[in-house]
Amino acid sequence: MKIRNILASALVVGSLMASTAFAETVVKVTLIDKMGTPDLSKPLGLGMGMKADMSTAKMGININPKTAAPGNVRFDVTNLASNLVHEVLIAQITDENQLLPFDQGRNKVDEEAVRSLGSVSEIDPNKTASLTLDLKPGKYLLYCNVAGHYMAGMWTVIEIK
Amino acid sequence: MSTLNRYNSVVLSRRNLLVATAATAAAVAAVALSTEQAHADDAQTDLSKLPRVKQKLVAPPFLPEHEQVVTSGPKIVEVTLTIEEKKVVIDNEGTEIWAFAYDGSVPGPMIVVHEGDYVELTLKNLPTNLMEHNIDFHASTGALGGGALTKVLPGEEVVLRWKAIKPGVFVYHCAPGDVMIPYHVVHGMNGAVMVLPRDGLKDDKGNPLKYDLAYYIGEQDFYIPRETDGSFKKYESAGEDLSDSLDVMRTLIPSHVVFNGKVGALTGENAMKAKVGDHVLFIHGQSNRDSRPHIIGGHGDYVWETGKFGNPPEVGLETWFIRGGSAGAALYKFRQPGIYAYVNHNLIEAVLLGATAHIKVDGTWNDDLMMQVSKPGPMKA
Repeated sequence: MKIRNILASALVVGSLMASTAFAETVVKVTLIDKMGTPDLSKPLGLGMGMKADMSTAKMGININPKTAAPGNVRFDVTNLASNLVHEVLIAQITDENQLLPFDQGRNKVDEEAVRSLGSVSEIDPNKTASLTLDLKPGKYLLYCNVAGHYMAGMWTVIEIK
Repeated sequence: MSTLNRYNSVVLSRRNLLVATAATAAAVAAVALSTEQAHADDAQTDLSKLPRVKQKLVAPPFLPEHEQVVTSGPKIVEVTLTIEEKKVVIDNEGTEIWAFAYDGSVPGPMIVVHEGDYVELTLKNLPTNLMEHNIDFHASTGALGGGALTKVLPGEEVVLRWKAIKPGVFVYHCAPGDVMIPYHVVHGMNGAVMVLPRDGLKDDKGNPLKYDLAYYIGEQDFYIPRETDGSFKKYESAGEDLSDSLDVMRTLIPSHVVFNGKVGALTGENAMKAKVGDHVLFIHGQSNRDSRPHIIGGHGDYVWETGKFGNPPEVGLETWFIRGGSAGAALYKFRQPGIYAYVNHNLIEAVLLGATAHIKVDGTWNDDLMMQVSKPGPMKA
């Protein structure tokens, strides 16, 4: 029995690894800081759906590629900021014009109203972390919800199709 | 279902960060202090009265226009370096890196001043860049070589002035902190400064030396990550390679060691040129790793191996040693025409990894120095 169990589990692991290797899409995510030290005490108005001039963003998220096939998507997140700790939350959205529920007082997206599918929390500067999600077709928001960061422009959208 | 893992851990990173922060704070404090002291015993230079000149920087291996000997007083030499994160090809097989390039070149341009001059640098970080950068001048004094005072985010610029008090050739490089220091340096973010004595170069007995030409050879070690099939990885934007690069860097085994940013950048059509009788000054910089320049078929007549003109040059050298994190200078008069190879005489690095340049020398052959007495033929019994 024991040996059979071991064999069986080895088989399961083997097939999991094989399917992961075939199905997984890798998306490189970089977290960046731009001009100056922004005052994050008040929302800067650069959130999704706000039609702001994103060239004035003080922070940002870059992704490559910008679309991925449905299935397992591995986000390799690198924090290129030199001082700031960032995080990445992922949530499904209807489209980029949507406004997110926002807590003005805390200067954060209302995480209770926006269901997160997964997150990479507290990535120190120059560090990398990864997150794998099984994603269905649709649009997904990647954003940082450290106070003020989302409204400073720290979000992007990936399309799964 | 989600899985979270952190596959890139640098064990001492927090401590490193703290140490670096403390060092920065101390450096800044020291700057404030020294400024006060300078004002206190200031019979010093009134900077407002000094002439200002703009130096037009040029891409290596060339040097900006400059005088070797100056008779006038100190100047403020204004230079601008614009940092560009750009994808460059580093060999003939199409291997790529997202380089961090001062003024768009690897290495960055050479700055030339005289002892006692001031370098006034405007450092610009293009808004399209993704990372913070700065500059540490080994030729300067204080604030981590200016590194603590020059941190600029994309879209920012900063102006730093420093006095050139040590004559010699020196490297400069980016040093933003923590793992980013070596990461930026091995992504091409380095260059060199030459601080000439006001009365020019001297030989080992104190007699004046002049050069007819000068070339700056910036040696660069690259650590390009590979795919599982062994081919070099490609990335869509700067910084995506951070984690993979650090893994390769930890091996200390470079994938490429090149001059002027690319295998073959100074060979064939791109060879450095000279004429028989020319005295050529070769400045060799390596910001990260040791090197050992050698001119195949020639020598170093006068070599400042450590690159500092306050010391007498060594004479008649075969190969000289460049310590990682320094620049050295060698003056050589070409006595024969032909193609000379200028190599890093770790020949594996020269031939397999790319550290070879050529010098094409025109002129008349001197049989006295060398001649082929008989052509190859069957061995005589």
